[in-house]
Amino acid sequence: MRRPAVNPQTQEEEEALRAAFAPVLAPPSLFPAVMESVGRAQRAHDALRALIPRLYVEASRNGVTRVRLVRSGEAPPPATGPAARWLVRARRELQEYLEGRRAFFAVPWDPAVLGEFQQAVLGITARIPFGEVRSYGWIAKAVGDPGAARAVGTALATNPVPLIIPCHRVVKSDGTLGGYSFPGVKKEWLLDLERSVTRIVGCTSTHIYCRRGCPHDFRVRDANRVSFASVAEAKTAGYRACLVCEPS
Amino acid sequence: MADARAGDMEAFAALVRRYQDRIFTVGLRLTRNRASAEDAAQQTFLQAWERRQSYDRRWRVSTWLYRIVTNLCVDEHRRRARAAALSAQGDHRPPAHPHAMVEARERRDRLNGALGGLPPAQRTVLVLRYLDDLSYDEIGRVCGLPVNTVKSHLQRGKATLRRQLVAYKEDR
Repeated sequence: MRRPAVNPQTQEEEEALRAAFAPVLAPPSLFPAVMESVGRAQRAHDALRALIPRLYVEASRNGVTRVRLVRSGEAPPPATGPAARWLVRARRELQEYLEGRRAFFAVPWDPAVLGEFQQAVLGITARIPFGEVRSYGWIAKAVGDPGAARAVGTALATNPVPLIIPCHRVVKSDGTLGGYSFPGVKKEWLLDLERSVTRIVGCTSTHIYCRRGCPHDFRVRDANRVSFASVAEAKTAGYRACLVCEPS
Repeated sequence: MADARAGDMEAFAALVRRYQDRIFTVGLRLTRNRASAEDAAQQTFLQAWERRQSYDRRWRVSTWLYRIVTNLCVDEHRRRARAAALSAQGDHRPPAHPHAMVEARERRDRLNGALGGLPPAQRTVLVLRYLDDLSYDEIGRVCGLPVNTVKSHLQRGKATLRRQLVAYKEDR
């Protein structure tokens, strides 16, 4: 872009501004701190990816009933019978989630065997948005029993379908993370993973935005994919919502 | 960036070395506090690493990094503004530098002080324009603003700065 001609006084002012805004040197502690935090993040992501072959999913005809980890090498259950399609879908979605390519679970879960209170707690928990957290007390209030924060903790600790029902998004109200009972997995790994994944993606040729992990998202070519920080940002850019994953 | 995107840590380290001063400076101009600027810069590179897959190749790497750091600083500004509103006494302006002896430095501090009085959007636009000579178009991309808004922010910001600096000269 050609700069328009400027009078000497403006020119002087521009020079002064440029001089005043000149870059300063970053403190020497910045570089090692960056590389340390990046290394830590990378180790956590690697650890999460390493879980993929160890995931063991069970399902009924209504949806997923159990997600747990087995020792590597143990064979996953054969996918047959009426539950087969949920098993296949759950495994695929869990893999995409742990690889940072999915921001929501579409596979249903089956609460049939659970008690009423636990069903309510898990139902509320399942609606905590990707990348966000809520407190145990908030869940207790949401199920209509504000004094039951501890009982909420117990209900979540025995969550039969971790990851799919995001009990890792429930933390203590003092800002610490609280316990997490999925063996070998740290709550902060999952929260960091979710912070790092874009939730809303758009396609530059269709001008439609989706949640990350929507079937339409996977069809978008890399060169056409753009990320948005929020639905509002996608809307201001002139994109419309996908009708399949209904991002909100 | 292509190598960094593929997960090459050394390529990423080179990228951090190349941009750390500029990113830190943007953080410093926006937060006016070295510790916050260092935090913001560290967060910027961490986010850049974690979101490297969503890097859009049509953007320059610097533009993309500027976008991350300005968003972080604006969020931080909002958080502090809210905290200040809550405590009703939060003064988030750093104290004037005690060793501001040198003329150039004094001018920079004065400018920093004047910058602090600007709305965050104008401040961001000015910093990007004069730190790295970004075009109006690129600034618009970084801030998510139309080009005309970028121009008007720039004009208004400069007018305010000019007024304050003239007032300072007359005081002397």
